[in-house]
Formats: sequence, C-alpha cells, structure tokens
Amino acid sequence: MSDRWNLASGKVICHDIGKAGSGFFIGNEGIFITNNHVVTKMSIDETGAIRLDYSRQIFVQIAGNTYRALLAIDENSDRPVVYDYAILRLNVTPRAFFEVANLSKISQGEEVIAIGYPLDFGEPIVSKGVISAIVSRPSHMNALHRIRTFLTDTLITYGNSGGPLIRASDGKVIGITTMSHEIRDEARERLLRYVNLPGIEFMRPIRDLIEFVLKYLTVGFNYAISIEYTMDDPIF
Amino acid sequence: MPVFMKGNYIFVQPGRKCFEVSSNLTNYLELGIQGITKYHLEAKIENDEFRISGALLDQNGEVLCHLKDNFIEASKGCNKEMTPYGYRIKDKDGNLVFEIQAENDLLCHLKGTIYGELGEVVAQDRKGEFVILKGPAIIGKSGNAIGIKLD
Repeated sequence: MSDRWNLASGKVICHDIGKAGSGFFIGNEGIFITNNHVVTKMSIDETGAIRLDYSRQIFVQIAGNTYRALLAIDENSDRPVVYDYAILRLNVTPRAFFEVANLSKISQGEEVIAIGYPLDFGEPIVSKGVISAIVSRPSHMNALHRIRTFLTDTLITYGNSGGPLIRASDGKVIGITTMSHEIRDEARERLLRYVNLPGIEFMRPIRDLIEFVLKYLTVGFNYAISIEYTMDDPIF
Repeated sequence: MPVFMKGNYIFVQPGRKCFEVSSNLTNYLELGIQGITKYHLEAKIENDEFRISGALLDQNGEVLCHLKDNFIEASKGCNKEMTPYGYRIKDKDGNLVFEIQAENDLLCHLKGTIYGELGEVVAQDRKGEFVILKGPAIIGKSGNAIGIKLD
C-alpha cells in the first residue's frame, strides 16, 4: 500500500459509546471524514423519534499515533445524519491527505479501492474491486431522502465504515464506505424470529454460534455513499 | 359554502409517489403564495423524494422556521425530530407544528396545523385527514397545468 494512503487514513475510536470505524483526511488543515454512525449512538424513543448522542471522546489512530478529534459539524443539523457523514477536526497537520474526485466522471465498472480498519485490525486493510452499480437509494437514517450510492464488491465489513472508497486510476476519493445495514437487519430479524420461537431453548454453544452469525451475517453488495454530500456541508 | 372533495387522484398515477390531502391523492400541494403570504408551504415530489419547503408560522402569526427541501434553514426556537420515515417540527414548547410521514415509500401523510399571518388556521389535520380551510392553495401540478386552485 502507498505510504501516502497509510498516512491519510486512520482508525476512529469512540470510547464513551463503544464504537469504532475508519476515516480519512481531506485537505491539509486537519479535516478528517468518517460516517456519522461511527461517532453517534442512535436510539428510537417511544414516540418513534430518532435520538442521537454524539461521542465526546473521539480519537483517531494514524500510523501508530493517536490524536484527539473534535466534531466540526453542527450537531443540531440533521443533514449529516441523513447523509451519514461526520466531519472531525484534528489538531495536526496531515502528512498526507486525499483529494476529492470529479464526481461527474465516475462510471460503472471502474476499478476502486476501499481502505479501512475492519474488525480488530490495527493496520489499514486495502481491498480492490469495481463499481458494481451507481444507484439512488433511500437513506438508511431517513427514507424521505435518497442518496447517490456506489455499490461495490470491495471488502467492507465491521470497522470499515467511514473509510474512503477511492478510484484506482488516480487515488481520489469518490465515497465513504458504509455497511449494508438494512439487508443485514432483515436477515437478523428473520433469524431472531426462529431463535425466539416459544418453547425452544438452545444450548450455550448453539446460542454462541447464532450470536456470531447474527453479528457478521451480511448479504448483498457493500456500498459507499457518494462524497458529494459531505462536500456540500457548510463547513466547506 | 364549504366544498368537500374526497377520493380524487390529482396528477397521480397508480404506483407512483403521492401526498394524501383530505383523502385525495396528489403529486403537489401549495398553501399560500411564496413572497406574497407570510406563510407558505410547498409539498412536491422531486428526484423521487418527498420534499417540503416553506415558512411555518405560530398561532400568533410569527415565523417559526423556514424549510428548504425538508431541512430547516432558519428557525426561531423550533425543533426538528427525525423519524425513520419522516420528521416532526415542534415549537419551543414541544407542541407539534407540522409532521410528514411516508408510508410504504409511496404515500406521504401530512399532519399539524398551518397558521396564517393573523393566526388563522389555514390547514389542519382533523380526524386523520389534512384539511385545507383557507386559500390560496394549489392541489396537483404538472408543468404549467394546475389540478385544483383555491383562491
């Protein structure tokens, strides 16, 4: 992997809400991008309203160094939530950063590279694939809004969220990699229906196995949200 | 004399997105006139999204917030609560001003009370139906063609 990519991406850790993901620098002023769901804890209250708590302890690990990160977005704005992006500010001058691609010149079949810190890896994991399709799909946070999304066969799993999807030909960012939540959740619900049938009690090893499958079961293509929504934020 | 219209499809084709207005299904609703009335609400379907824009007033006729394509652009103490399929606009006391909820990705319900600049009720959900009580209003639009116009 290019050293530049190693220095321009990092692992995001939010101790207070128990979440982790990936992210990357845009520009040379310490602006660091990740997914909104990486730095927030979401719940739905009794009225059906979405409640979000932003992490107050966001740290970013880059090439063995750990930096404190602050939120640069307006926490009262729902725009970052709808389009699942968060903009952080690190008090450091990045040694490398990504440039944003010209998004009007992206086409199906182009080779792309996903960079992230999945599972328990402390090292960036790179995988290569293609843009399988460019689709408009409902936001997984608010179905009123639709999001331009790149479906891809690059490897994206837990911890990849927030990492860059870059075009292989020029190394520029086109999207923020994000898991396919709703497909996974559908599989989860179906399995839970069987597990919770009345009168059925599973032995511990079987229950452990079911819990493992529930955690990692993913069906369908991975996707990355186009970077354009992040770049439309008032901070830019 | 009040006129009640129910069960009409106004510029809506089966299987396409639409708003429900007093049991009528329509692709467009406009309450007030932008730049003329102090209040204004435009509900339209664009790029396959339900989009609401306009200026919402409180019952004293003061501007509570400006909406642009479902996002609050300016507000005086109102709060937006997002739900998985819509959102609610509440005033600073937590009272519901306006609500939009999509059902099955195709049908969009409107709730709340739209006030005019004198505090009069312009539109309101009553017994589950969003009723227009005062013009000017437009229901249904396609290009320059207008479905129903209330003066």
